[in-house]
Amino acid sequence: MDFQFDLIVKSLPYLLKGALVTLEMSVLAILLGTLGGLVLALLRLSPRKLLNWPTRVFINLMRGIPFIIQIFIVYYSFSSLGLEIPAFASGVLAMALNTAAFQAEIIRAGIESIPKGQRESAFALGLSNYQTMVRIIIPQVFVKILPSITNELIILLKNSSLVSVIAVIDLTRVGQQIVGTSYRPAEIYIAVALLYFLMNLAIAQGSKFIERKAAIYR
Amino acid sequence: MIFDFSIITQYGSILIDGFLNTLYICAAGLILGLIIGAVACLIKMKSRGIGAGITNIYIELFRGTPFLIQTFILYYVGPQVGVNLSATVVGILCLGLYSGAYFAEIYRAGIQSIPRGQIEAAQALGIGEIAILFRIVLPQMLGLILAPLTNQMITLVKESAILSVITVQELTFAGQRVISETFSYVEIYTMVALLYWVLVTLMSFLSSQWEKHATRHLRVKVEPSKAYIETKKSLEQVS
Repeated sequence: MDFQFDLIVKSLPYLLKGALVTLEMSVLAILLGTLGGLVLALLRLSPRKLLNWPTRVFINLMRGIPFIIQIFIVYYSFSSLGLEIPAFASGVLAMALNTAAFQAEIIRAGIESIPKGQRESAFALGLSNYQTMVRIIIPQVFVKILPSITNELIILLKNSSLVSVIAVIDLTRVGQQIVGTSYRPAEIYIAVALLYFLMNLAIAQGSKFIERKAAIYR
Repeated sequence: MIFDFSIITQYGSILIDGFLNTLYICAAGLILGLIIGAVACLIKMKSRGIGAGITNIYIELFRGTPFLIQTFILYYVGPQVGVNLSATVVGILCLGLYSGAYFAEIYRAGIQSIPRGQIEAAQALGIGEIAILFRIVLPQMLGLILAPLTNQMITLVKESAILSVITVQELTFAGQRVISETFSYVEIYTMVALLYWVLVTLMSFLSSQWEKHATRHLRVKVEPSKAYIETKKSLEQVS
């Protein structure tokens, strides 16, 4: 079997465009998902059953259902309701919901690992709930959960390859299209795999850099 | 918008067939992955040169690339090099290789968490390496690695849904077959999601029960003996 390197070089611009779409989706999903994860974590920590239990059910469902099924449900729910939203948007929504559920658990575990004594002394000193959270709890939690969040981001990037099944033109989809015309799956899919690997490597290295910088706040 | 769930009773048998297939494929992939992980972990911890290097590359590649791309490479590249395997076999192979990389790391972390003193003491007593592994390391390691192992097993079951893209006849594929006849996307996918959720919850429950059994040695209550208590009492009475 001859390995056609020139095919990879020729398709690289298209693959990189697809990688850009993948990155766009991932960044949007990360932003929405982290926000959602924070909200869900706070709901999950609330002592009120009305807020706590639906959140637990939602997180349990998101963690127990395959992501590809989640994508299908989000995508087809909208069309069954009569709304036509582009595949890109529903892909981002599915990714954001999924990562929000996982991040909620990570953030909740991080918040619960801060010794209660800190919260009690903050109240004793007269700080409000909001001030304790924003100025004392969350800065420490941020540094603590960085490795777990990096893990989750890598999983998110790998999950983003699945939105190709609802025809979003991301890196995987571009790869499939090129294979469809060139009939050389080996070269193209190996190139696609390497691009994903490089993106994950970048995330891991970036996270190590941030961890080093944030370590002074430990 | 009306959800017509009567479709479930008509086409339920197709979904159940797919569910059983998923069970079979996941079980086979799991066993393969456990074995591959054990072999990879062994090579990584024992060998120093090429073996460890290749194993490290394998683990990094299969943890750093999407499962979908891995299945594409194994399914579509095979015929190009002359290897023709059925979709199910490729699916099981993919699941095994993918989870094997994670299991290798889990095994490694488990083995390294056993205090080295125990292993050194056993070596000083002349206990052979294999006996150390099976009688000292493994029983303690089991309770520790069950939680990450379960997590990875659940991930394996969820990733198996991706195999539908390479036309493996599992639950998601069965769901898509039913949808191609009935066009009731939301009902069928909800049912499929529910079946996966049931499987995942069952696995997680059984595993937590096993974990309780495997870590019971950590919850033994050590109470002072009768002689100790009576001696203490008599000393207090004297003083």
